[in-house]
Amino acid sequence: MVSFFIILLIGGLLLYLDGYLKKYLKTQTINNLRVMAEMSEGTYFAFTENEKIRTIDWGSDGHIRNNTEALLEAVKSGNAEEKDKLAKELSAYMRERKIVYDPKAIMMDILGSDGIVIASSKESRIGTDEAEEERRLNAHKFSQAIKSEFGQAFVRPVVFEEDESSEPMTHVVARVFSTKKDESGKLIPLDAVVLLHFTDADKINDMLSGKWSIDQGAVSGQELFNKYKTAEIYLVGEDRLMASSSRFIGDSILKQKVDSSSVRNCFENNKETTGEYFNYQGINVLGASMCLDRDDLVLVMEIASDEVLAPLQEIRNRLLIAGILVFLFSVSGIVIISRFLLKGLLKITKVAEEVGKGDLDIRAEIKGKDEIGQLAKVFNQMLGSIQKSQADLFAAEISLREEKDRLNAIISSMAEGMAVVDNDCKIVLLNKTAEKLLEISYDKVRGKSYYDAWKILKGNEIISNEERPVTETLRTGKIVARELGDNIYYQTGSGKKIPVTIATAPLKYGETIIGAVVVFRDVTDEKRLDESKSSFISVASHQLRTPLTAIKLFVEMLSTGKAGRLNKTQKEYIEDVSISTERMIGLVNDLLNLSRIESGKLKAKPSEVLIDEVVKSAIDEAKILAKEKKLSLDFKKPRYIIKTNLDADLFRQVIHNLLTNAIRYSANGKKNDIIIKIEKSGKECVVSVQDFGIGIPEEAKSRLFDRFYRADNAIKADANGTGVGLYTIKMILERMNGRVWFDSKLGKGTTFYAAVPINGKLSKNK
Amino acid sequence: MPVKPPKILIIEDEKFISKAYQLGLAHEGFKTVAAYNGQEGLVMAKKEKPDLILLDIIMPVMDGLTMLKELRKQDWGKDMKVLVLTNSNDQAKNADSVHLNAIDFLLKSEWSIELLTKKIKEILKISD
Repeated sequence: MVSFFIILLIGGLLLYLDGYLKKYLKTQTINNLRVMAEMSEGTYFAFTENEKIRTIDWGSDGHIRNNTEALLEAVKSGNAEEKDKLAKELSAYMRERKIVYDPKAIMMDILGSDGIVIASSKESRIGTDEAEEERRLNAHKFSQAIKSEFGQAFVRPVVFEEDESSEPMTHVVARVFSTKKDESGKLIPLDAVVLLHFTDADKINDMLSGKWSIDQGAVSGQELFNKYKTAEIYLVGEDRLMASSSRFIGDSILKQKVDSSSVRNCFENNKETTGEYFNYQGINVLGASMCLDRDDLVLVMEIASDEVLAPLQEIRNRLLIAGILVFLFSVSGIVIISRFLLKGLLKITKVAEEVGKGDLDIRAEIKGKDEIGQLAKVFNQMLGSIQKSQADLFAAEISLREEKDRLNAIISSMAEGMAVVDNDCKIVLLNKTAEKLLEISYDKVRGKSYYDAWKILKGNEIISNEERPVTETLRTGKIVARELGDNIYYQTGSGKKIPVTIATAPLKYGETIIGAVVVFRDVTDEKRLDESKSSFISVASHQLRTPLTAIKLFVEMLSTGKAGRLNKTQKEYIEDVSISTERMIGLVNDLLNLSRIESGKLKAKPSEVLIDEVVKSAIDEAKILAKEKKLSLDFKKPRYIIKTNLDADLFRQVIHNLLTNAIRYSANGKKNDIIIKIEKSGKECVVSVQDFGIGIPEEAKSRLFDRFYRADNAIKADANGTGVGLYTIKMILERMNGRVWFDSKLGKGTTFYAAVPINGKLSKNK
Repeated sequence: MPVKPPKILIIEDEKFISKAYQLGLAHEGFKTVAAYNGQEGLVMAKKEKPDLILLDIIMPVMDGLTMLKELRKQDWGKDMKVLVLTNSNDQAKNADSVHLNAIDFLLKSEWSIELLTKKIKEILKISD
């Protein structure tokens, strides 16, 4: 990324530099070219001036002037002999005394006013019509010269006349003047013109190339051409033909067509051009042109722009190299610097990699207070906390696993059998004890219906699925228990019956019941113990009652006189024995009854009964006792006839006990009434027994239903109570899902309430 | 009281109680025979063909219920009137005895001879 930006930066810089240099180089070169073109123009003019001077000079030669004047006279006079003689003489003079002194001048002609050669260094040329040549070839400027003043000469450079020379020539013409002067002292012009032919094509080239200047004594001149292989300076004539030799194309003079923009500009618009264009060779060049109006020439100075820009390529290459170097340098610089700077980060990265592989003990060893140091510190802290939390997690996992193992161990080593079912009552867990007890393999019943896994019996009868405790728990979400007294058995795989106690508890997720746990216990031993306890009770009751029965029967025999008459005292005594015996029998009954209730032996046998009938029978039973105490039992007529399901004998015993208590503790009361009422309260039937007796002291209220407890005032009133009556009432009512409570004021009386649920019909009592 | 007094077989291992019943019932005009365990009771029942058997439950040699079962197996005994009199509180045995066609199941300690006589007279449909 960084490298990319560096490349972009360097590239941009290079492009900008390149463009700038290109432009600069071009402008500079073009300026140089113009300067040089101007210089060359100057040189050219100086060069041609030289030839002009030569022409004027030779034309001013007194001998030539005199002879020409004489020759003109001879021509005029028609003296042919004189004319030939003079022409010969002048021609010889020019040949022998003039042109030999200038290697450039190859011919010298004297033209008459009509342009005919009248004398020439080359005598064969006499009679040649130069006026015609001027018209045809624009070979010179005779027509201008014939009218000109003294000191004027006219140059016509680069003329090619095969009959005269194989080389291109420069023709310079100047008027010939008489040696005599007119009255005003002015030289008298003659109707003749001197025409000098210079073969100077190579000289022009030399001139243009600077060689001429060197020849003239200049220090340098050809530098440009040495330096630039494509540099070229040349002249172009009006006919768009090259007027000097090309550096590249041989034999170009007056043959090579040059029609570049610089040439056209000059001839068509008289405008000198500098700039970049395509030259006669079709090469893109930088050039400058000078319009040489006088001679109808254009001087062109050109260099191929490729060559000018060659250094640019060099520069470009160098720049590129420099760029690459800068790039490499900066990249490596950045790498080194970042290595140096990021050493810490790299270290942290390495540590992070190690951490990734699981090594949490490693730490980034970086000191320093810079950002990296801070980062390392925070990173190390983070590692520390990761390590700690991982350790915690590990510990938690271990403890969780231990917990699970422990739980599994507990479940499998539980003495109780345990089964867990889902809400479809499919078995999801069965512990070892259950497997062993039920002779069932968990693998075989896993995921299968709990109901089919084993049967449950009450006594000898199989309990339907709907009545099984687990069903009730799944339906109601309540804990259901079956105790020893419920006489429940599981039938094992082999058909054996084992007595069990069962507790089923719901498994809840939030409020939803997702299953149930069934815990059961093989109660074979308890059953046996229970049976032996039962048999003990049975035996004990039998053993206690047997002698009492014998006493009771013999006392009866005595008191009824079956064993002979008794006197009054004997009769009194035997009556006392009878009462004590009866009390003893009552006590034994109470205790055995209590024992049966407590052990769950007392079986409720519910049947549909009318409450008022049960109460009435209890009242009837208690009437004798009430009569003895001179108390009246007032049974208020109930508003409703209430039918409900309960064990009539047990409920009668409850009412009976309440009545005997009321009778027992009303004897010394203010009123001698005991009021019995039956009322309906919500879904309960409440039987109340109200007395106006001794009442219950405050301190006794909380303990009143305790076994064997008797309030102090009760003991005073009647020493013979056993303290099990209310306890028995409470036990019986709890078995019936009923309850018992009381209102009492000491010395004013007590009302006991016995409530049982109404689950039968209710009708108005007519 | 009819010419021929009703015969009552008292099967009771407790001698005092047996004696009291024998004396008391004889006093009331019944003819009493006594056996002291179930086995004796069976023999006596077959021999004496009593009008009513007062049967105790808990007895040595053969208990009352076993005796009752055996009795019900016999042609001569299957319709014999039996009143169970016991001091045991065992309700299961109570139920079994009713099942074996005993007339009633009485708790001995609750019954005086006077009351028992009344009960027997009711059973035997003897009016005073």
